[in-house]
Amino acid sequence: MALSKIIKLAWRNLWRHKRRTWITVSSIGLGMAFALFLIALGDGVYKKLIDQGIRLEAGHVTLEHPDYEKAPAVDRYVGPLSSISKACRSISGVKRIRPIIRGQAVISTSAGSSGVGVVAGNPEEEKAVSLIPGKIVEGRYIEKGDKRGVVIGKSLAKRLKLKVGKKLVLTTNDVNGELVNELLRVKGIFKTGIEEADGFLVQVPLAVGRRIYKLPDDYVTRIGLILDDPKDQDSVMEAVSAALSGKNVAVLPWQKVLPDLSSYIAVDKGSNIIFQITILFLIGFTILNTILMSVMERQREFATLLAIGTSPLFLKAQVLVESAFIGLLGCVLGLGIGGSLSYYVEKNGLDMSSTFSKGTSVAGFTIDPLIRTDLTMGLMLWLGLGVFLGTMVIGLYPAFKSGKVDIAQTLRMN
Amino acid sequence: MKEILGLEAVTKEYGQGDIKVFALKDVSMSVNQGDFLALAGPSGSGKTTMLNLIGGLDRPTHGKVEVDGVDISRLSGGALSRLRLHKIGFVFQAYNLIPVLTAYENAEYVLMLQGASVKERKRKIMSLLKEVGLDGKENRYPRELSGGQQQRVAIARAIAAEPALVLADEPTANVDSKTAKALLDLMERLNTEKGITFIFSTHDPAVMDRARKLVHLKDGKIEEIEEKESKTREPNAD
Repeated sequence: MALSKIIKLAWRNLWRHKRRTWITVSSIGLGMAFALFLIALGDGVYKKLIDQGIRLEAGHVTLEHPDYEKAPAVDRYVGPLSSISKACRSISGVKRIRPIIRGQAVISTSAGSSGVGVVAGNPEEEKAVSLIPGKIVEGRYIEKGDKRGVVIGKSLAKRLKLKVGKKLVLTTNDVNGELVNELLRVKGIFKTGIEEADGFLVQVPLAVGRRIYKLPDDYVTRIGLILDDPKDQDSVMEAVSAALSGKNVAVLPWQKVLPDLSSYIAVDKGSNIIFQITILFLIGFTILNTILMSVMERQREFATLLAIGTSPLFLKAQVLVESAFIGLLGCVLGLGIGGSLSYYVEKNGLDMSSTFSKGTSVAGFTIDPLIRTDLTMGLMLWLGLGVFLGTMVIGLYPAFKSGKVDIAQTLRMN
Repeated sequence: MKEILGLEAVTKEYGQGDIKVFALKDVSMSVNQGDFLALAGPSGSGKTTMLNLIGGLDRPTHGKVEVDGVDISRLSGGALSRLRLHKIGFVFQAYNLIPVLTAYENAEYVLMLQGASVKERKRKIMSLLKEVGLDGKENRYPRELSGGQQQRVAIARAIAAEPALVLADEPTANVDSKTAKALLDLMERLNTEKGITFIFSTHDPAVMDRARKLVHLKDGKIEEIEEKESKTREPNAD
């Protein structure tokens, strides 16, 4: 009964000064919308960078020889692929299993030679996962039956004056350390916009890679696991580690495989958080100022209410409910504006080509000038709850003040 | 007649160290149930201080204030708050209604704090508003009422919980003489018909004339207590 009266009084008090209440609610709402949009935008950029990274490397989770990370070499392979695949396929959250062989080589043409990274993968699997199949600008992507087929990057092709159908010689060391030469024919040329890929990467079918490096059947250098939801990474890693215990396999998160990208994201996130906290801190002062002003100008009213028998707790609760209303309205406005804006940019993208110079990259990955937000329910709930609870905490001091009125003195002064 | 209020050697002093100002000095008096009493005196004579001490809004420096048998000078803040809620009604010079509540809600407020049911509140407040002459104005906000009407709401609020006594600090000071007379008529009627004890402060001779017991204060001391002919009935005595 008293609660309904507290709520009624708090709601009506809120609208005594409509303009002031709206200014405060708008400050919270706009600040929150701004913060939500920035976080969603940052998350969108990170998501895209991570996506690019895992598509170029292996997966959200990478399985490899325990010593491969220290010194990546083809003689540090893992397998048997069939049994590892079988174990991983039964784990919930694993969407795709991507076996690859990564190695180093030199390719030569009549125009010159260049050091390259070789990625040998199953073409069907790569089409579903890798960036490269979708970035073919000339010719076609490799197929399973291509005995000597290779796709190369646009910059590399330009440097070595290679065209579709032309031959090249790939020279490398096999798992035994023997020097091997392989004649390959260019089936396609890709352009990802990532200079490290376009200038230094070649892709061949898995069988060709195994033949070149003389890897045993059913063995590869890396097995990438693509997850349904990247947020399940930790739980999947735990399950995979348990399933493969006893096998000589290291289970690594993408952060270990792509440390530069991971560090960049961590640093950028950190600076964004400081910026967002600064915004929220300023909003906090606006809320404190409004509620405190509203309490200070109602001293006489509070003194009257206390005089006629209202308990100080009742008054404190009333002021706190006023803060709650302000916080709630601000959150609704902020989530409405920020959510709508973020949703629009998620669906349509935001073209930043006028700001980003062509080929702007971080940690070796080019940022697509058409950036998209990554808006999640979790983010909205987290931010909404944070701002709401923040408003309540800020409201504690004015609430405390409201119950501490000197009744006789206040009524006498008025 | 039952004693409803007793003041025993009450002193209230302000200030610290050697600089002390006595607002009340060694004041003793008693008030019976059904009294219609005025505290009279010029500004600074101690009228408001005395009302504050009786109402538990302030504490005496020395002495004892007893309301309905309870020594309120020793009560904790919470107990004082409960005592005010159940035993004392307040009427202020500037009405002090809650601006965001209607006339009905202002009068109902104390009953709500006491935990009365919605049905009981409605029955009581509608009847009270009718009694104080505000029938049909229950949904008006204070800003939509005249000064006299606001003070009637304040009186309704003060007596809604059927307190042992009603304290009114210069209740007619902010209204014209015609409205003042009407308000005094109302308080007098509530006193004679319902036996509600009223203690009000005033320095208006016209108001003093209406009181049946007049306590003259000067410089924080009782100068004289003037008893007039009693018109008061015992509560519920027909």
